[in-house]
Amino acid sequence: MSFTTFKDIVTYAVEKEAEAIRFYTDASRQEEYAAAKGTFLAFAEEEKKHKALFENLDPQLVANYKFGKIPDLKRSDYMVETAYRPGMPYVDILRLAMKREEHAKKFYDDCVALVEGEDQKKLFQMLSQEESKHKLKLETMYDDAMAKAGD
Amino acid sequence: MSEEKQTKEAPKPKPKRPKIPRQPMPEQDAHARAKNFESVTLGYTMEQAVVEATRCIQCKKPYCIGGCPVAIDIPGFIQLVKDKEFLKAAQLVKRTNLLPAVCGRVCPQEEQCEAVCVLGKKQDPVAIGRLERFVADYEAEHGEIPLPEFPPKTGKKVAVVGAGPGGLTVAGDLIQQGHDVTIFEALHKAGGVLVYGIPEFRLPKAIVEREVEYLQRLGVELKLNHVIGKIRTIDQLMEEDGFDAVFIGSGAGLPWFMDIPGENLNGVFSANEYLTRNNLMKAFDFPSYDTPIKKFKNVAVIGGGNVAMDSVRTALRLGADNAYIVYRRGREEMPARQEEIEHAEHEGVKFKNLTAPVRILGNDEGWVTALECLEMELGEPDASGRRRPIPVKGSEFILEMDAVVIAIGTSANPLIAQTTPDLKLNRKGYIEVENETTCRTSKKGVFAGGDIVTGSATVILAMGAGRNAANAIQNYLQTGEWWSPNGTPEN
Repeated sequence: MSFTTFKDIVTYAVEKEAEAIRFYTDASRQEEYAAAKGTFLAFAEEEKKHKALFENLDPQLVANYKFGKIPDLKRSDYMVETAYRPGMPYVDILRLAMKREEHAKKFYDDCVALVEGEDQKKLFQMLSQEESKHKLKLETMYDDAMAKAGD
Repeated sequence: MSEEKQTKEAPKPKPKRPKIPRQPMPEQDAHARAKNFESVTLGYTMEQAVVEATRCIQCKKPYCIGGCPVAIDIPGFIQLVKDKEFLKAAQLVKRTNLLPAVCGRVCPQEEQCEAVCVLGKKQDPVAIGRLERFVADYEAEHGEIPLPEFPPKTGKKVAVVGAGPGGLTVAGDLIQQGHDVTIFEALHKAGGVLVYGIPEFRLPKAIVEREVEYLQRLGVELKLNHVIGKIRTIDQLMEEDGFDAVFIGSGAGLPWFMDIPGENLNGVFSANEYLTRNNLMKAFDFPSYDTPIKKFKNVAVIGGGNVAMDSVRTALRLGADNAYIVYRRGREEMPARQEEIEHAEHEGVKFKNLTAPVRILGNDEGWVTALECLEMELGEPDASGRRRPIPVKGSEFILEMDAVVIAIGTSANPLIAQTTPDLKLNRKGYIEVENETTCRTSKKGVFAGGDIVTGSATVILAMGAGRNAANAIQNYLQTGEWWSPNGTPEN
């Protein structure tokens, strides 16, 4: 895969978000219980926000984007890969989603290293930071659930 | 101010009551007990109990009762202890708590009744739990409380799914209302977490058996080895077996793992399995009981809750040279009772706090050989003000280990939900109830309480839920009134 233009990158990022929306929506359809359906649909909604953000990106927006330090709890980083299975418990759903965000962030971080143009680098850094925010949100939910249980 | 009042003498200060220190709990020596499964705490003597009871100031507004999930008349029974009327004290406790010998041992009183004891504002609170245990043990040794008188039989049948603390409470309350009560227990012994989870050294199983026998004397029918969801469904119980109401108290027995590499190696246990082998199946008493368990030299228990403390102390007693708690947060965040943490420390458990396991290593035969961990540090406070642990870069280290016990939590077993399609679950997979008081589920005539609703909690909270559910079931059986999610009662 090669990213030569701003548009190439944005198109790719939008498609990645669309894939995530499809993944969570499909999972919600396969769930028997309203609660699990709701959890997956909520994740799909989050991805829709990202998709909308990326669809409306232009070079000026990226130039003005504010970078900050997003804490990384690294809860998913040491976990093995996990696949969706219908009826999986709540904490496993969170693990699945965390892992997906981890991969997305890592992909954009790798891209930063690969591209040469400063604008392209900045765009990938922005995409990485957006994924980091999602990862932190999910890992915080997970950490709260686990802390209560004694983990 | 009136002239008369001005000329009155200043009131004399009340003589101060002599401060009596909280009576310590006699315990087995820490080194000796770390090698046996006998009870760690030995219980108050009669003299200690009376002295401790005299510390209670008999508040006019006793907050301690409100602090107890089953609302025991605490000042009342303590006064009876002070008067040396021990059997009457036990009788009073049993009016609202069917399992006092259990609660006196395992309830977190420091967070409940004792936390609100008025005496605790200036000195140590009254040792309510220890006194509760004393009267229950006294009653067991010195005679039985006569069975209470029952109202006439109502002809109503109630099924209780699960013989844990919540289910036993529901059964005890409803049998005394004149209903026929049958408990369906999946295991071969009644007691739930009291028999499979809490070790002998913290709660002797003879005590649980005694409490269950008392329920049977009251007339509760106990069907063991009955897995509801497999043998019978909830629908079958109601539609074919003639039960008018069902209480689901099946607990949260599905263990969580960490999803790190190496968890499939031999020597890795869930705490549920590790404790069940020892507590229910008596592996510690081999060959009297034919349950296998390998003797491990170095055992790591992952987690910082009560289940982790029970597991690590069990590991010591099974002969481990080194038993570790590996916990990713700081000690102050451990959900385990302070008393259990201290007992573990005194017995020689090694604590690796702010340490997170990242990989379990094994040999060619598939057995655990080591645990790779990371040091953690607390990050900046987040929006909730919480400082979460984050890994310290490059801090990996290896602990030589031949067993790893994972005690990081459990969730609900999905069996009942899978076979009861109209039972609504919450986001986390627990049964959704109208509220904690009514315990009514989305299915008419079906109530739920305890860990299957809240997730893993304490014995007394499950009993409190059982008490609420029993009241709600009694009301339902009398009126037939139900609820609908839109808030309008339906019949």
